[in-house]
Amino acid sequence: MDNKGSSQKGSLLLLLLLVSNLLLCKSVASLPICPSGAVNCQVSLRDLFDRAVILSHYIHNLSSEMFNEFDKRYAQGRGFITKAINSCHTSSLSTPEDKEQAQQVHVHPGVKENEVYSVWSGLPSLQMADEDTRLFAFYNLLHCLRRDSHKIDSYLKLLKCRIIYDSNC
Amino acid sequence: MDLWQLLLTLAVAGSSDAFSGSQDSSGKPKFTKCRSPELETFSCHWTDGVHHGLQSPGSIQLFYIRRSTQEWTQEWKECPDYVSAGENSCYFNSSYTSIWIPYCIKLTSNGDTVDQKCFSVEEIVQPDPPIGLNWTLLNISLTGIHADIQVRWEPPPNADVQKGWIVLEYELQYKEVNETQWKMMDPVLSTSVPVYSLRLDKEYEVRVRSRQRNSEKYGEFSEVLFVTLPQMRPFACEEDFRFPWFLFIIFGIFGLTVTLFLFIFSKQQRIKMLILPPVPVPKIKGIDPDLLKEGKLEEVNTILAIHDNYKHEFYNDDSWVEFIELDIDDPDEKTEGSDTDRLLSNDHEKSLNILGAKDDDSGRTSCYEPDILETDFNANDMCDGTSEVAQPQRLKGEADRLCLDQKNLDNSPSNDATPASQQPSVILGEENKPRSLLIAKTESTHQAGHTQQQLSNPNSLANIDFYAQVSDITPAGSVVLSPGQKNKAGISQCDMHPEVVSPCQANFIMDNAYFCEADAKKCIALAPHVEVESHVEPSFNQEDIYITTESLTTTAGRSGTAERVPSSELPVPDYTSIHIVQSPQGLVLNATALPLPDKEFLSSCGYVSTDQLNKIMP
Repeated sequence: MDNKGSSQKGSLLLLLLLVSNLLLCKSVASLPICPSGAVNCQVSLRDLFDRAVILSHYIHNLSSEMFNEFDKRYAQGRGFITKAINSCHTSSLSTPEDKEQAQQVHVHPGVKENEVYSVWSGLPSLQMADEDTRLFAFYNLLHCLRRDSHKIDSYLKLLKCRIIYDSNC
Repeated sequence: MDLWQLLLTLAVAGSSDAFSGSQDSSGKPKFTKCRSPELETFSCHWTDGVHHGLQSPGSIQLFYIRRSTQEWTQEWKECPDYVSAGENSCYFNSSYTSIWIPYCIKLTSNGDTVDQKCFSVEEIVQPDPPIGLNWTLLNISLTGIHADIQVRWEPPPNADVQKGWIVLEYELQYKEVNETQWKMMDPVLSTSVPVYSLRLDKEYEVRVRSRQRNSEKYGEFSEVLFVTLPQMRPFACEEDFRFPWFLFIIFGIFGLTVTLFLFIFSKQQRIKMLILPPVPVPKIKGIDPDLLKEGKLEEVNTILAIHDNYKHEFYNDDSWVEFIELDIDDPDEKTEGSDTDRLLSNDHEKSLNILGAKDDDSGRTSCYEPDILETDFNANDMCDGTSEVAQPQRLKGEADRLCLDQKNLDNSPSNDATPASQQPSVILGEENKPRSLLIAKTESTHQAGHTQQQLSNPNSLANIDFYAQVSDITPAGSVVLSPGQKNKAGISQCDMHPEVVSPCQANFIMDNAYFCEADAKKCIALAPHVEVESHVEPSFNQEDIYITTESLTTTAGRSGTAERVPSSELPVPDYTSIHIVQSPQGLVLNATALPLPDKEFLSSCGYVSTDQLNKIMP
């Protein structure tokens, strides 16, 4: 019972951390890129990329922090890492896996690709009564979030340097 | 996926079993670290443990498995390169490296798994050290002791920062050559950083290391950069620049002394003025104190009369001086004797000292307070030193009480006990030296008199009257006042007749401090039933509380036009006018002698001068 209480507290704490981070995130890029009411708002691609990179970097930063905190606090000695190595629900999405493949990514404005949704069905596991299962679900979620945010951050930085700075960041 | 996990778990379990089994734990090979320097390749290293149990060092093999998006590869593959990364290492080049893909590697010795590890490549990034460290001098401080330098370096060559594939941050550390502790600076994203405040006579070492942003692990340190700063300037000051306190103090004292002497020996008056500014005091314009001393009362009165505005001013709001206090503040005077003596003396001139005004600088207060009355009459001046400002406040208060009590007063027309209301009361009481020409006048009507009496007993009969009749002056010099006890009885009666005409009250109330005769007349007119006539109307029927010599003079000769006939029958009034003391035995308070002033006098609304008094009085 004690463990359950503490883990629930931990979950709550983590959620609070997440929410607060998201709120903080707003302050990072609080200025709207287009002021409200502006009809023809022209934003340079440079500004757009700069903003996007800042955001993605920040999100990855937060995800790393959350994962590290959780790992330090709840996952020690539980061997979650081995179990979580393969269980991201976004793994099925086809994305560049290395630099060469990432460099092949091009921005095609207007092209709508078939969006392959990868539905996350892990919510029930986050609410499970069993503490072990629940903690592992959180660990898995945070691990995947960290990885995916790093992926996106890397892609955006690559794109920015290629498009804006002509591969000379 | 499940199968793969199961396999993994079994492998881990198996390896742990193997460990606990025959082999010596210290001797088994295990992974030391896996590292990717640029997020494009990675390598894993292990220790080649000593196998005590085994005769031959078994061939150690590394197998890896990775999950790809396309297919599930469940078979372990062997390390592609055992050489490039050194001994006991496995190097995975870019073709074997996939980022964000989980890898698992295992180390086998003679077919037995000895160690296993799972990771993703982006988690094991540890960049190479920066290269090309150099420094440039920024500036040297004015003292020639410290200097700032700028350290620059290049990112590790294999990290593709130009394409933005990896973003690095750097940490610089420096220390003096003979120190042991490195000083760390905050991580920076740029490839150059300034280092401030290095001492010119010391040599420094600088090193830099880098890490992937958002990662925790730093790479290796770069080579140490030696910073040898130029020697100090030959004329450099001492290390500790001592402020020349000695000189400072000397000069300071000298300057102060000079200033002091200057002040002392020149323009002393000004200094005195600055330090001790004279206190502004009310002075009677144009009155020469000597004049008063000599007893030339008429001249004084003339002068006072001339200053018409003087009188009016007192009725205005301004003033904290409501009347001219003609006090004697000469210490010599004191030595001459008490005022009572002066009063009692046959010396007419001396008696005029009552009116004498001393042109001194000390402010004097009016001696109005009933408290003062209560005090020992033998005491010396109570009024000395009291603030002038307090005067009007008290007066106002009294006036308010006047107004407020008017109603009561009006209600008691039949108060024979307060005949003296008509008469000006003398405030001699405060001291034996009635210096002030405070001739308090009662109201024109007996009502006013009641008021005055009421003033003294606004709420209780027990209070001493504000205005008290001086009934006697003892030879010892104390003034005996008769508290208006009769009035007290009368007051109660007054309360029983609250039919006073309101306008009368209003008028009185309006005129906050003083009652103009006009108002008093109204009151009188409105209350004809009041047996005013039966009472001796003091010549100062008016509301004027104070009688100035001026008004006295002006009304001189109007005695015939008194509005009211003083009643022949007049009980001993509580308030009586001051009649100049003729005899040393006491004051002649002759209320009956006061004829009613005429209109002019009534309209004066001011003070009644002594001349007027004299003229009015028989």
